[in-house]
Amino acid sequence: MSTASKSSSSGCGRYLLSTVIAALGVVAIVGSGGGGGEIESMWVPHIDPPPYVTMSPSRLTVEQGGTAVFTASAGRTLSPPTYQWRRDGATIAGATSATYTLVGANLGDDGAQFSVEVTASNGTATSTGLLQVSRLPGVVYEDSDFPLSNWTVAATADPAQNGPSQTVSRASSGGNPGAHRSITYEMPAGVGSITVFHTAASATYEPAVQGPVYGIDVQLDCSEIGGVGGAAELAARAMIEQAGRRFATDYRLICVWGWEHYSVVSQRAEEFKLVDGLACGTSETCPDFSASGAPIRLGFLTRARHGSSASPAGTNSQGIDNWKVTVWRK
Amino acid sequence: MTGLPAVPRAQCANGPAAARLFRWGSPAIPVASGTFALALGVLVYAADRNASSTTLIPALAWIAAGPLFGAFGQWLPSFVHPFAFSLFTAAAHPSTTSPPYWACVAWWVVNVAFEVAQLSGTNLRIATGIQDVFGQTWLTRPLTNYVLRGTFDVGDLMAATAGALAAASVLHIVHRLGVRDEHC
Repeated sequence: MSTASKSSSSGCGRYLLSTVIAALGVVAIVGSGGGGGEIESMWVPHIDPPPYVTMSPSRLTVEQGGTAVFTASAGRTLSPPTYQWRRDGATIAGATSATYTLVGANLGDDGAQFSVEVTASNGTATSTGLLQVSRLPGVVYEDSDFPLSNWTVAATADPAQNGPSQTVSRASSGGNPGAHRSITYEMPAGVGSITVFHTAASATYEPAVQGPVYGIDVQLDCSEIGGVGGAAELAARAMIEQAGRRFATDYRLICVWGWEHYSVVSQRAEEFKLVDGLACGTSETCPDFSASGAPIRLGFLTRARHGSSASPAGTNSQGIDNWKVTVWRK
Repeated sequence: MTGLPAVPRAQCANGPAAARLFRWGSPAIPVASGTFALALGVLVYAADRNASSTTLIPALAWIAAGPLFGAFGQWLPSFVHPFAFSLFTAAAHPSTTSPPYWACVAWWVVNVAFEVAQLSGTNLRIATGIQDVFGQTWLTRPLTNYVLRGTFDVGDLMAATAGALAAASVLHIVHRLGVRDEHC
């Protein structure tokens, strides 16, 4: 055997030996039990992470006489889960499926707290939701055709100088289905972002005239529809404007290829956070959903972001379709 | 070689009594030190710990008449792990230029990571992540048990640090004496 091949085989053996030592070391650490409580056997699970359950929606507003539907999504259950629904802590007889439906909600149901308890072999989990009942029908604003004249656009870019830019247009096809609103972002290389505020010109709710707002539902569909060069993160969120300020919900949808549905329901004033405009004063209700509040203009915001300094320059396009807002009144 | 003190021949221990297997600088010394330490660590589990607190080592009733290690037994395994496995890894990578201190650093990092994984809150997220990604297997069950049932202890972190430093010291001494022997 030559010197070179000897050296190569001993190096290989050394790394094999190191791998075996590393494996034994980790086994020794894990096998030691970590200095904790009882572990009966290596082969038997002792604590399984408990199941979880999410009630959807967590707050729901329906018109008086309408139907309220809550759905429970359980996960990490190690046996078929069982469901039990409760209202204000009291068990609802027969409500043992993953969905609970209340037909003919009345004003007495307003403010009722519903909860669902999911039980599986590895534990139980509970999730709660609130029902709001409005005496008036919701005021609905919607657009799925997106003529450019229906919308106004404003944008803020970071960095402001030589930063990202955007172009908004209407595409007559390729939506979900049919026409949709298309936003194309020119993203320079490196870290940067651009937020585009889309406000429907005729979708203005006037609390002083139409009544105080109980909650706002917002739905839209979003998709990434094209891109060249660097991939930006594209997102969409519910947005409202009031008294020169813009507010958006925390929840956002990251838009990827293929149309996805965005929905937030019964959003209260405190769930809309200031994203553009003067900071709110300490004594100011901001936004103000009461009868003395200024007119509320409705819309949505879209955003493109490069999170890495290594992101190359590129163009990304985002589509929005089936925008619908329901304003619930007290 | 520059930088090494001149060693009088009389001080060299490289005579016939120093068996070639155990000459300074040979991997046998780290391996023997590590094995001895590991045996002590095993004894902690065999003698002082409840059988149900470990997955690998059953308690030996005949030896468990009383605690052999006292309070030290609480942290000794955390000292032994990085100490022994640093020395084993170093023995697998003998070097004539400088001791493989990186082995001590690597095992210190591994031991600290496993200890931190037992932090309350972090442990559930890790266990859940393991279970969600890999499911329940013979490999993941002990791991989730370890992070969920193990106890995070700053004393263990200190013991692991001491173990890694002790291993580095052993490597340093063995290397220095090995270099001296080369010159005898």
